[in-house]
This record gives sequence, structure tokens and C-alpha cells, in this order.
Amino acid sequence: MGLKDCEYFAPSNLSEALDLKARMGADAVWLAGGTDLMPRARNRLVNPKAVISLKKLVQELSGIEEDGDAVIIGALTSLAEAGGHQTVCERLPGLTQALKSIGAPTLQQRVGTIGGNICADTRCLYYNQSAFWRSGVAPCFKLGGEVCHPGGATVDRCRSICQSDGAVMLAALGARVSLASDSGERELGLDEFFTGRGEEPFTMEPAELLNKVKIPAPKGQGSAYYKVAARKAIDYPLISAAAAVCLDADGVVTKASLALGGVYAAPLMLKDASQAMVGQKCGPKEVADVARKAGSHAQPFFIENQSAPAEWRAEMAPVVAKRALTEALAAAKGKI
Amino acid sequence: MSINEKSFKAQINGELVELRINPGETLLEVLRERLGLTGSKEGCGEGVCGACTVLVDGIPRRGCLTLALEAEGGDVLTVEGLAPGRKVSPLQKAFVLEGAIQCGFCSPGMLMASHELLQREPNPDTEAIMNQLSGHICRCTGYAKIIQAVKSAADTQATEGCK
Repeated sequence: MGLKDCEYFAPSNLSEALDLKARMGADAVWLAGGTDLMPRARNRLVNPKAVISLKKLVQELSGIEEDGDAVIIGALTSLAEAGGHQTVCERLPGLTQALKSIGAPTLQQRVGTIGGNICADTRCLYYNQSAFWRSGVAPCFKLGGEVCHPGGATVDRCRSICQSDGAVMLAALGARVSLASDSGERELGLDEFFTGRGEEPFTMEPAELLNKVKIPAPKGQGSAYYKVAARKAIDYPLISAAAAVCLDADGVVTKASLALGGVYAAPLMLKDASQAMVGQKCGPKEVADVARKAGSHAQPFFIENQSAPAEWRAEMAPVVAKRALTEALAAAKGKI
Repeated sequence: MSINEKSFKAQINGELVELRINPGETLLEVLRERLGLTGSKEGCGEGVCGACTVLVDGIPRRGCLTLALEAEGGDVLTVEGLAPGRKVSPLQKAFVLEGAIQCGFCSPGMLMASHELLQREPNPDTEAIMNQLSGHICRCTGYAKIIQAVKSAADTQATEGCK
């Protein structure tokens, strides 16, 4: 059985959906493409009393529009549509790379949505397992218990990780999400939207729905996403890096940001490291320095919560950072 | 708590089907257990292997990750619907002739994904085929023969189109 004892609703417009969610609160979950929710539901990691399907809201909540220096993408836009859209390809090449790297063409790409990707739950080698597998170990922090299996005795909180490719790139781009509820709408930067707590990864009320994401796309900006995974399709990142760099007319860096994925419960922003690029012309040497610094800042976050060893992932951190930064710089140079 | 069954109505392989189902049932469960359409297989149950892929309104979906009610009112195509009765489609025939089938467990998914590709792109190159099938796992044939079969089906389609 996919879901046990679960009601199903498919409201026909946004206000109906928000009213319903406001009434049901945390008892109900949103269902978009289902590629994150359904595996968790089948593993009984989430046991909703009801699902509220968004299938009739696709027209209302999807599409891509330009708004001056920003691009706005509706939450129900499919990954294939968002990643392949001309505006996104031209103005946000890193986002195209990130979205195209998700899942498989016959699954996530067509039914998975950008909103769902941002809201994909954090994962851990010891959490995303069947109920039977988990019955052999004590419940962890994310399941309301008091232990973190990969973290060991010294860890006092959940150390599951954000494995959304889209969210990591969007965080590097400084994107903001808008959250709608029956009482209005609010906008949050991704840095606020992600709590960094594995137990509760998102700043989101039960009544709210992430309905769109607004992404700054200033002139002279280049972006890139570099992901290491076991296979090209299907797999989550073992580690990934997202970079966004802005150059002025002389080729001097005016803004730089770098985020690592597959490391921490939120996209891991390495502001200190990337800030060193601002105000200078950056070549391979500067990029390598920033990448090295980023790798050492990320070091404490690596634990054995993924299928690849923490030590190897830590070694790969500066490598992916360097590749993403180099490509983002090249993309930015092509735009000035 | 007992949950009220809901009515489920959809075109399945061109036939209108009306059932009462549990809202939590997946499309794969409805197809296999209620309708006896056991062509689609459950491999992994978490969307990784692709063996349960069916088309809903022309779009490939994993049967194991799709609530049946998501397909309510839609048009579902499974491997049984690729050709009428006990006949096989040119694509299925190509799979047989090229030896793209061994144990056959991945085949329904491979076929549905390839079918969808050929609908969209009648003459795909190797890269497009590999890309389309990248979410599908086969543990027997090593993929080369499957890719060859899709190519040969595309060729057959092209020559038949000319006649």
C-alpha cells in the first residue's frame, strides 16, 4: 500500500487548496510530483492523514517570467520545463545545470517540480530506510528519538543533509521563495527558509505553500553547478557545489557566492571564502585559494551519513568548489 | 480509522475503467492487483529502477510513486496496451529480435520509456536513447542491445512510414 489510511483531496484552485490546508494543518501534506513524498511515505517516514494533490493547480502555479533583474518561476513548473526554458538557460545557466542533473528523464524531470525540489526533505543513510530496517536501531533525532547514528555520542542534533540540487544552486544565486497561506503571502530568502536543522529543515507553517521562487539575475552574472554522484541519472549528490559570480565591465568581481550541497541540512553557504574574490580580478590562482578555504571551512560538516566516505567527500569539497567557481567565472566573462 | 473508498475512473489502455479504490493505493497496485495488468513490475518501490513506468496522459510516470487518484480522469497506457490483443508492437518485436530481453523484468519500463521517446522523437540518436533510458536499470543485457533495439524500431518505423 502506498499510503495507509489516508484521505485524498484535489482542490481545483489555490484559494480552495489553502483553505483546506489551513483547516487540516500538519495532518495533511502537499502532493506535487510525489517523487520525494512517496518514497518517504512508503517507508512510513511520513504518515499523513490526508494528501492534498496540487495536480489541478499546475496552470495557476507554473511558468517562468522575467521581472527586471529577476526571474520568477512558479513552484509547480516541472524540472524539465524550468531547466530547459530559454530565459533560464541564458540568464541562469547554473540553474539549468542543477535542474538537469536531478533524477531521471522519465521520472523526476517530467513530474518533479522546482517547488518540490526546494522542499525535498533532508536525507541520511540511517533515516531513509524501510520501517523494518529502522526497527533494528533506536529512533534518531529526526524520528523524535535522542540519537544520531552517524554522528555518534558527541552529536546532540540531527545531522541529515540537504540533497536538493536545485536548492543549493538557488541559495548561491540568492533566491527568495514566496509562501502563501489563507491569510496572505510572505517572502523569505533561502538562507532564512532553510533552518539548518535536520529535524525541521524549513521555516514554513503547516498552512503554507511554497508558490514561487524569485531569482536575481543581474547583468554580468555567471553561475555554474558541479555535482558528483555515483551515476549521472537518479542519484543524489555525494557532494556538489554551486557558484554565482558577478563581474563589472573591467572584469573585477563585484559579487561572489558559493554553496556546497550534500553536506549540511541546508545549502552550505561559504560566505567567508567567496567574499575574498570580491574587488579583484580572479584567475586560476585566486579561485584555487577560495576553493581550498571553502573546503577547510566545510570540513567539520562531514560525517558518515552518506554512501561515500566522509573523508573522501571532504577531499572532494575543494575540487567541486573550484570547478563550479571556474565555470561561473567563465560564464560571467562571456556576459561582459 | 477506516477510510472511505473513492471512485476511480480512467481510460486504461483505451478502455474506460471504473473502480472503487482506497485513496492511498498506488497506480501500480491498482493496475496489478485490481485490474490484473501484471505487465508493469515493481522493482525497487522507490522510483529508482524504472520497471513500473507507465504513461499517464502521454507522460512517463513511475507507477509505484504515483497515487492512482493522480491519474483519475486520465489516459493510462501500460505495456499491455502497446499492441492490441496478443500482438506485439514494432518496438516490442525489435526488443525480441535484438535480444534486448533476458529476464524481462525491466522490459515493461524500458518499452514504455522508449515508446514515449519514439512518439516525441521518431529518429533518436544513441545519446537521446541513453538519456531517456538513464532512469531504468537492467541487470542482464548490459543496455547495448536495448539501445540497439530502440534504434532498429525507429528504423522500422521510418521505412514503414515511407511505404
